[in-house]
Amino acid sequence: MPLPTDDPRYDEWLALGCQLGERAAFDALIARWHGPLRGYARRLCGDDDGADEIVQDTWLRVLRGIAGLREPARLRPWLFGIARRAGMDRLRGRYAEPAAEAALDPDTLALEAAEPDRALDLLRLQRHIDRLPPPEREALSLHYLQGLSLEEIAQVIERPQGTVKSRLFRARALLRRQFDREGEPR
Amino acid sequence: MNRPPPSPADAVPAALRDLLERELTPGARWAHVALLLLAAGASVALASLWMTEPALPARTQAAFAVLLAINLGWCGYAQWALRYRRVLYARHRLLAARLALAFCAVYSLGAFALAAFAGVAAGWPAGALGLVMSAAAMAMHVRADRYYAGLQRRREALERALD
Repeated sequence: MPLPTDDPRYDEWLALGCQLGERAAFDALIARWHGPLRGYARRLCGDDDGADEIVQDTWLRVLRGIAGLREPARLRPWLFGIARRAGMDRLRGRYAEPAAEAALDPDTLALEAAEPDRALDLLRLQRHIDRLPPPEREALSLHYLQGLSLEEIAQVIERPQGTVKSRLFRARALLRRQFDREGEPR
Repeated sequence: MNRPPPSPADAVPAALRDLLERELTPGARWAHVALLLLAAGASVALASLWMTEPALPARTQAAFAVLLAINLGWCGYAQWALRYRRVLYARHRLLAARLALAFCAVYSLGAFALAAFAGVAAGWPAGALGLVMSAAAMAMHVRADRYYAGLQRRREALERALD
């Protein structure tokens, strides 16, 4: 019997299906994680085209690498780790830093929000987050938008947990400063 | 067999559906498995012939060496492709190991039959080599079977924990 999608072990169950070679498991994996990975990729590179390239490259690496995933229970940090490496490779190839201010996607945000006011607030918050330096933006996005734990983020960015904590601390402080200066989303 | 619930067709973007089709289509995967088996079989046959033919002229020895190198090159390429490009998942690994075991067993039996019933002396060392290959294929099969069973057990344990 399949596990319900909200079960905390559902990702592990899906990863096992992929490692066994079941096509339906791959479809379900992509349907579940494509959106969050694309959002993360977009925050890494700052534009839609770049995000599409990164996420395509990420899935290619996932399809070719999931058979070697030793701990299926750690699927989530593994996926974001791959997306991060794909993003870094792309940025390295482009010899450019991520854009300081990304083009925003109001449609997506509006869809996510139940009311127009809430969509505007999300848009403002998104703009504030996009102005953070890349390391702080990444930590904040993984923690608050993708829901990864400190340990999982440490695994994704291949740094100690202490570094993650200090990046999150700095990110919050920088956000607070921006809110004080320009007004806080409600 | 348990399968994840079908996902809505529009949940997977078209570009990714193409990628999935390309990467998970079994044709290319099995073509590489066949290439590996053929190249390995040809390499063993060539090496057996080379080792068991006495006093070959230098030119023929060079030809054997080149042919063997070409076949080993194909073996290496197929292995690389199956490891990094057309990855074998657990059930594919199990099936590939079964195929390898069957082909090695047929090769060994054939070589020993030639030696015993047709009086071909080269059949003995060729058969012995086939036995070594069969043992390697058996080891691969045991590993693949253990890996497959381990994944299945873990998945069943997750499902049982739900009850």
